[in-house]
Amino acid sequence: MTSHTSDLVHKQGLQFFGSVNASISHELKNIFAIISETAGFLNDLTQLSKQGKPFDLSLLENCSNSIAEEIERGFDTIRQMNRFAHSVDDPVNDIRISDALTLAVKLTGFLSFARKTHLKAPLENSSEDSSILTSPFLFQALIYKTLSALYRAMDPKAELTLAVKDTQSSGVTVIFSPDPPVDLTDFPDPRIAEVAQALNAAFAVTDTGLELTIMNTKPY
Amino acid sequence: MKIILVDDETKFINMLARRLSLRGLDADVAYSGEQALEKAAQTRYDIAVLDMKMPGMSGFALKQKLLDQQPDIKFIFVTGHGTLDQNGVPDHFDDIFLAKPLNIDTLIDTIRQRLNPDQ
Repeated sequence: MTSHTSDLVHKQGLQFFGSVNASISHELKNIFAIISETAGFLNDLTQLSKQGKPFDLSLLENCSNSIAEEIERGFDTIRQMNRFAHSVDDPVNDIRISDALTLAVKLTGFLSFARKTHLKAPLENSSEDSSILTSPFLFQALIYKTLSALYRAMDPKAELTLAVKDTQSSGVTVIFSPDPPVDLTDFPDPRIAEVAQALNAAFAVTDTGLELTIMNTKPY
Repeated sequence: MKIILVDDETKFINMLARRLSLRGLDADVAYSGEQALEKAAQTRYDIAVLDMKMPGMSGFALKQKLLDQQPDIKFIFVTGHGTLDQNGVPDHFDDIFLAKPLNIDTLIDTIRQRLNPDQ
C-alpha cells in the first residue's frame, strides 16, 4: 500500500465508515422506535381490557405483524452492516460488481436524501458475474460517495438507474442514469476524484448521466 | 390542544398518534414536510412534533415554513441521530429535542410544558 493510499484509507475511509455507521444506527433507532411504540400500544390495550373496555381484536394481529416486519427490517439492516464490515477484510480482492452495487444502494438507502434507485440487468456482452480485482473497501466508498452526490443533485421525486457493462480491456463500467438528468458540471468533487484515482478509475459525464470505468488492477 | 406529528416513518407516527388519542390528545399525522404544510393551511395547531431528518424537507426547514403560516406554533424535535441517548434538552438549542425511541409520558409532559411553561 502506498503512503498516499494509506492516508486515503485513514482519512476518507474513516469518514466514510463513520458516515455509514451513523446512517445504520439511525435506521436501527427508527426500527426500535416502531417496536417500542407498538409494544406500548399493546400495553395500552391490556390496560383497556383490564378496565373491561372492549377493543377490536384485529389490532392485536396488526401489532404482531408490525413487530415481525420491523424485526425482519432490522435483520436486513444488520446483514448489510455485516457485509459492509467485511469489506475491510482484504486490502485487495475480486469483487462481484452486482453485489457491491447492491450493497452500496442499500447503504445509501438509509440516507434521508436517498432517491429511488434501480439496478438494471447486465447489459449486452456483460454477465451477472462481472467482477474486478480492486480494493473492496475503497470501491464501496467510491460508489457510496458517487450515489450520495447524485442523490443530492437529484429532485426528490427523481429516480436513478444503475447498469454495468464489461469493457474491452479487463475492466467494468458502471453507468449511472438519473431520470430526469442532472447538472454534473462540477462532478466529481476533489474527494471523490481522489478515491477514483487511487482505484485507477475514471468518470465520464455523458448526456444521460455518468459512467465510471474501473480497470482490473491493484490499487496498491 | 391540537398537535401535528410529522415523520416519514409512517408506522411510528401512526402508532404514536393512536397512543396520544387513547390519552385524550388530538393529534394529526403528516408523512412529509409538504403534507404537514398542506394540513397546517387548513388547521390551526398548537404544537408540532417534527422528525429532524426527513426526505425532501428537513424538520428545521419545515419549522420555518410552519412559523410563516402559524407564528404561535410551538415545536418539539424528535431525532434518531446523534448522541442524544436520553430524553433531554441540549444546552445549545432553544428547541426541545427528544431521542427515539420515545417515552410517551415524557412526550406528553414535554408537550404540556412547552405549551404552558409557567405551570
